[in-house]
Amino acid sequence: MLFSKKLKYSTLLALCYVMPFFLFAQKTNAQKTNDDLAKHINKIKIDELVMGTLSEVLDRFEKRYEIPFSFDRKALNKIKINERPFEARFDTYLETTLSEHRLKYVLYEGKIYVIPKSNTLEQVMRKEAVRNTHNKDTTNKAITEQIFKNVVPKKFNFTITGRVKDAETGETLPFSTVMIKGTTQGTTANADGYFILQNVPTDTSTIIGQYMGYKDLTIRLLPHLSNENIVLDLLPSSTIDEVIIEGERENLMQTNPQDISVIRLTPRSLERLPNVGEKDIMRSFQLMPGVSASNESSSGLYVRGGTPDQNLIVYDGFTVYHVDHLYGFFSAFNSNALKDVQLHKGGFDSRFGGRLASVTEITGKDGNQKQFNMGGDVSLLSMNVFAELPIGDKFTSVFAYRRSYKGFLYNSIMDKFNQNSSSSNSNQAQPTSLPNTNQTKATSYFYDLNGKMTYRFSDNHSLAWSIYNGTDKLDNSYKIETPSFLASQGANLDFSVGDLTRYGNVGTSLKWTQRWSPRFYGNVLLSYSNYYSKRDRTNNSTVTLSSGETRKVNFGTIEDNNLKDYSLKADYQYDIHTKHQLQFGAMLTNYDIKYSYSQNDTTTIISKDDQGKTYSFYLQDRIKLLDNKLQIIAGARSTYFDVTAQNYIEPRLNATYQLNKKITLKGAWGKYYQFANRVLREDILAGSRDFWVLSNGKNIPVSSSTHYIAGISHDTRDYLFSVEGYYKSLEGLSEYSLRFDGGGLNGVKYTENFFNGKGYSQGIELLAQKKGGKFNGWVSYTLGQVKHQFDVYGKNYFSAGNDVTHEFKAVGIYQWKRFDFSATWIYATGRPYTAPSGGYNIQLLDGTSQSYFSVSDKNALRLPDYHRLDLAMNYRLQNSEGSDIGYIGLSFFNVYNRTNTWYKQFQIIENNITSTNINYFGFLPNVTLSLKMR
Amino acid sequence: MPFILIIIFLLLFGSCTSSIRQEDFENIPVVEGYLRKGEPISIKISQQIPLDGNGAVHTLDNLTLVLYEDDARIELTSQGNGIYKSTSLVQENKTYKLSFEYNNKITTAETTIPSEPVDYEQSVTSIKGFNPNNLGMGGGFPSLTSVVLKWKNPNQGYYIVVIENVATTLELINTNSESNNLSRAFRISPTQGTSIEIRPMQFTYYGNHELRLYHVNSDYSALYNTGNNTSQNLYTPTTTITNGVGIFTGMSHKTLMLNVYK
Repeated sequence: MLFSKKLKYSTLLALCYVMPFFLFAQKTNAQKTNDDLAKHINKIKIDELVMGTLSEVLDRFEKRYEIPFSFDRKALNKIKINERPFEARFDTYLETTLSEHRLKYVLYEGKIYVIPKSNTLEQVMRKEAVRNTHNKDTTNKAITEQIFKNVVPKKFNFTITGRVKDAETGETLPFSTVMIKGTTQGTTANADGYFILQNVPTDTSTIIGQYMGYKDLTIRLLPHLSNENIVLDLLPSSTIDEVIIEGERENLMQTNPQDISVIRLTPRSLERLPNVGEKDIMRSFQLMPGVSASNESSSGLYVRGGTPDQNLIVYDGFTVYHVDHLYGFFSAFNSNALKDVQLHKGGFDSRFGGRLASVTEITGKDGNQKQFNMGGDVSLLSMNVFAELPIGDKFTSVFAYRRSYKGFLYNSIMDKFNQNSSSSNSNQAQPTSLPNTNQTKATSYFYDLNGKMTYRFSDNHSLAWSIYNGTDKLDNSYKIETPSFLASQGANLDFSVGDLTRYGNVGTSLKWTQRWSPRFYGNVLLSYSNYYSKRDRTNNSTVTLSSGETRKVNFGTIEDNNLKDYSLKADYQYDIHTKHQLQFGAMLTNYDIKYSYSQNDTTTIISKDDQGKTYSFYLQDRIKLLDNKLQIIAGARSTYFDVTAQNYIEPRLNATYQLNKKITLKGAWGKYYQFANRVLREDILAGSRDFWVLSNGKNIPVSSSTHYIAGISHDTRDYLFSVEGYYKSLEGLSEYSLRFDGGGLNGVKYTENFFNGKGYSQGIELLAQKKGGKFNGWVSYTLGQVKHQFDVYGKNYFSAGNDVTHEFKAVGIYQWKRFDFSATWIYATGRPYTAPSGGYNIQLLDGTSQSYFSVSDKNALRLPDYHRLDLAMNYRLQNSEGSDIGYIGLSFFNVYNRTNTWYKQFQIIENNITSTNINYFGFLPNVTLSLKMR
Repeated sequence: MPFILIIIFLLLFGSCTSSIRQEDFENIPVVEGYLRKGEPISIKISQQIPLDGNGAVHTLDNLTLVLYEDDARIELTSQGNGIYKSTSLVQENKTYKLSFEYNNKITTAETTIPSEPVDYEQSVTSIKGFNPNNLGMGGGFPSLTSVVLKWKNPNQGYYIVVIENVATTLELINTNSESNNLSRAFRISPTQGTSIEIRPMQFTYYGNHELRLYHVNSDYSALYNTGNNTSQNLYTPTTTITNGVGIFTGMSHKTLMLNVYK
C-alpha cells in the first residue's frame, strides 16, 4: 500500500516541477512578516474533520485561520485528504500531512508556500520565472510581479556555479551540459556534476541544464537570489507521459559537438535495446561507429582497429582489466549500478594514459540521496537486485548484485563454448572407464557485485568508497562417484576430471573530492585492482581403501595469472577564466603481475613474477578563442617506467572549430604508450584464454601509437550527421605463443615466444542520428583497415585478426504508448583467418598418428560476412499515476537465424583435409522482468 | 558530402586491399625421422596432403639422401614406400645432419641424440590390475598400488614415458569395456619433471608391459602441442627442418618391465 502511495506522489512531484503554469493563489493579509506568521500558526490548534482535496483544505485553512497560502492548485487538486486531528498543533499537523505527500511548506515574505519536498523555494521560483516569462496568461501576472518584483537585471557579465542532479534521487549527473539560452555559450559539468558558467550576460538570463535520458531543465536567474550553488534538478525523461516538454531528448547515445571521438551512453536507457540476457554497456557501444560489433565471443571493445586490451577501462577511478562474463558473451558491468559511461575512441585527453587505442570511463551511481529504493530484474540468464540507502543528508550508498542461474540461456551459451573446446589431444593416459558409476557435473556461474558509499562532509568535500567484483567460475569438470555396490562394501572412490576456470576482477577505490572554490576542483584517489585467472585442469582421485587408508592422486596442469595494480592519483581542474581551463595531475601505479604454468602440482614450467612502477604527470590547457568558436585542448603526459628506466612523453592536441551554429570541424593528434599488455594464449577455445604481462623493454617492448583524427559534424535540433577519419600508427606490438620449444637443439625448455611487430590502422566513420521524437536511432558505417607486420610472418603487411573492412549498423527505437520497440541490424565484413596450405600425419612414439598442417600466408582468407538482426519489445509498467516502475521485455537475438562463422576447424581424415565451420549463435529469445520501487 | 568521402575512401582502400585468395599449394616434403639410440636409422619422406587432395599419400622414393653423423657420411638406401634405411646404429650425443634435394630446393634437418636416461627406477615390478567388475567379495578395493617411475633430470630435459603391453596374447582387464581394439600402448605427456606415477586403472590389459622412458628433444615435445587445428591459431610445429615439414629428431631411451597381474 505504502509502495503504491509513494509512487503516486512521485508523479505528483514531477508534475509540480514541470507544470507549464503554476498558480500562486492570490490572497489577502500578505503583509505579515515571516516571524509574525510563524508565531501566528504556532498558536493554532486544529480539531476538526479535514476532508476534500488538498487545495480545498488549504483554502479552508486560509479563511478560517487567516493564513495566506500559495500553491499549485492543479497538482494539489489530485490529493485527497480525509483525517480527523484532535487538538493538534497546526504547524505540526501541516508538516506531517504535507510530508506524507512529499510536499513541504516554506514561509516567504509573509506567505506559506507549499512546494515539493525535494525543492527549495529558490528552485521553484527560478523555474516559475521561466514559465511566467513565456506565459501570455495575464491572470497570473500580478502574482508573478509580486514574487519576482525585481526582474530588472542588476548584474552583468558574471559567473554562476552549481550542480546538476537527478530530481528524484539527488544523484549528481556527471558531464552534463549547462547552456545559456539563446547563445552558444555553455559548459560541461565535471565528473561530480559541479559546473561553473562564466560570462553570464545578466542575472535574468535563462539557463538550460541537459543530460542524456533526462528532460531539459530551463530556469531563470533572478537578481534577488544567489547565483552560487544553483541546483539544476533534472527529471528522468520517462517520468511522465502527459506532459510533452519542449527540448526533451531521450536518445540513448550522445555525442557532444565540441568533443572529438567521444560517445556517451546512458545506462538507464539501455533496456530499450535488444539484449540477450542482460542490458549491457559494452555490447551497446559495439553498435556505435568505429567499434567492432561482429565478435560475439568478446565483450571487450575493438575500437578503430585496436584490441580490447588497448582500451582503458576506468570504473570509479580504478582500472578494470577484465570485462567478460561467460566467455565474453556479455560484459561484467551491471547497468543497474552505473550512472554514466563515456567512450573516447581516440585522441583522448592527457589525463588518461597507459593505453594505445581508447578509454571507457564508467561512473557508478552514488545512490538515491532522498529515500530508500530497491529493485531488480529477472531474465532467462540471471537475477539482479539493487538497493539504495541514504542515511541522513550526508550519507548515500548503493549496492547491486547479479548472479546467473542455470537456465535455458545460460546452458545454451555454456554448451556453445564448450562443445568447441573439447578438441584436446586424445592419447593421454585416461582412467579405465568404470561401469555403473554416477557422473555428476559441477556447477558454473558468474556473479558481480557493485557497491558505493559516499559521505559528504559539505557541499564541497566528500569521500566515496567504491567496490566492484565480477567473477566467473566455469566448470567443465565431472566427478565419478563410487558405484553403490562398492560403497556398500565399504570402499570409496572419488575420481574427478577437472577443468575449472575461475577468473574475474576485483577493484576498489577511495576518492576524496575537494572543491576548494568554484573555480578550483580536484580529487585524490587511492585504488586497487586485481585481475585473477586460474585454470586448473588437474584430475584428482581419492581412494579410500578397505583398510581405511585414504590416498590422493593429482595430475594435470594449472595455469595462474594474477595482476595487481595499486594506484594513487590526483586530478585537478582550475578555471582560470571563462575561456581558459587548466587541468593537471599525477599518478603512481605499481604493477605486480604473476603468471605460472605448472604440471602435476609439482613441476613449474613457467613462472613469471614481474613488478614495475609508472610515475605519470600531466598538464592540459583548454582554451576557447574567436568568440568561443575555436576550442583548443593542448596537453602533455609524461610517464617514467622504472623497468626500462625511461621517460615517455606523450604530447596531445585537440581542436574544434564551430563554423556556424550547426557545423563543427574537429581534429586531434596525440602520442600514446602502453606498459601492460594482455596477450592471447594459443589455447583460444578454452575459457581463460588471455593473460597480462608487463613490458620489459626487451622481448616485450613498450608499445606506442600516434593518432591522427579529423572530422566534421552537422548538428541540428533533431539530427546529427558526423564524419570522422582516423589514422593510427602502431609500434612495438607483441604477439605471444606458449609452446614447447626453445629454438635451440639442446636448450630444451618451455619458453614464451614473443614476436614483435608494427602496424597501422585507418578508417572513416559516418554517422546519421535522429536524436529525439517517438522514432529515433541511428545508422552508421565504418570503413576500416588494420594491417600488421611481424618479421616472423615475413616482411609484408598482413590484415590483423580484427581487420573488418565494412561495418554497417542501424539502430531504431520506436515508442508507442507504453511500448518501446527496437531493432538493430549489423553487417560486417568477415574477419581474416589463416588456412592450411597442406597437411601431414606423423606417427608418435606410442604408435598413434597425429595430424599437422602447414600454413598459408597469415590471415590471407576471409570468413563469410557477418550480419544479424535483433529485435526487442518492452512494455513499461507504470503505477496509476503514470510513473515507470519497471518493464517486461521480450528480446530476440539473430531473428532470421543467420549462420555466422566464428572460426574454422581443420582435420585430416583419411588423408583428406576437411574444414568445419564453428558458428556463432543462431536465434535466441529472452524475457526480462524488471521492477523497482521508484 | 559524406557520400563523396565514402567513394574516395573506397577507391583508396580498394587499391590496397589485396584480393582474397589462397596461396598456391607448396609442394614441400614431409620428413619423418626418429633416430633412436642404438637402433638402425630409418627415415620416411612423403609429400604433403594438398587441401584439395584425393586422399592419397604420395611417398617420395629414389631421392638422394645425404646424412652425416658428426663429420662421417652415412649411406641411406631407398626401401620403397618412402623409406630410407641404413644399417649403422644411432649413437648417443652425436649430431646428425640430413640433406636432400626435392623440387629444386635443398631440404635440410639436424638433430643431436640426447643422452640415455640416468638412474631410471621403478617403485615396484608388478601391480594388481584394477577391474571394477571383479572386486573381492566384501573386501572393497584391493591395495591399488601404483608404480612410480623416477629418473635424474638435472638439466630440465624433456622426457616421455610410453607404456606398452608386450604379451603375446592380449587379455583385457575390464571385460565389460565397450571399446574395441584398445591400444596396447599409452603415453604420459612430455614432462620436464623427474618422476611420474602410473595407476592400476590406467592399464587396459594384463601381462608384461614395457615402461620406456624416452629422453627427447624440444622439437619432439612440440608435436604434443594441440589445439592447433582451428583458423584462429593455426601454426606449423617448430622443427629443425628447412624447406620441409615433419620431424627429424633424436632420442634415447631405457626400458623397465612391469607385470600387471590378476
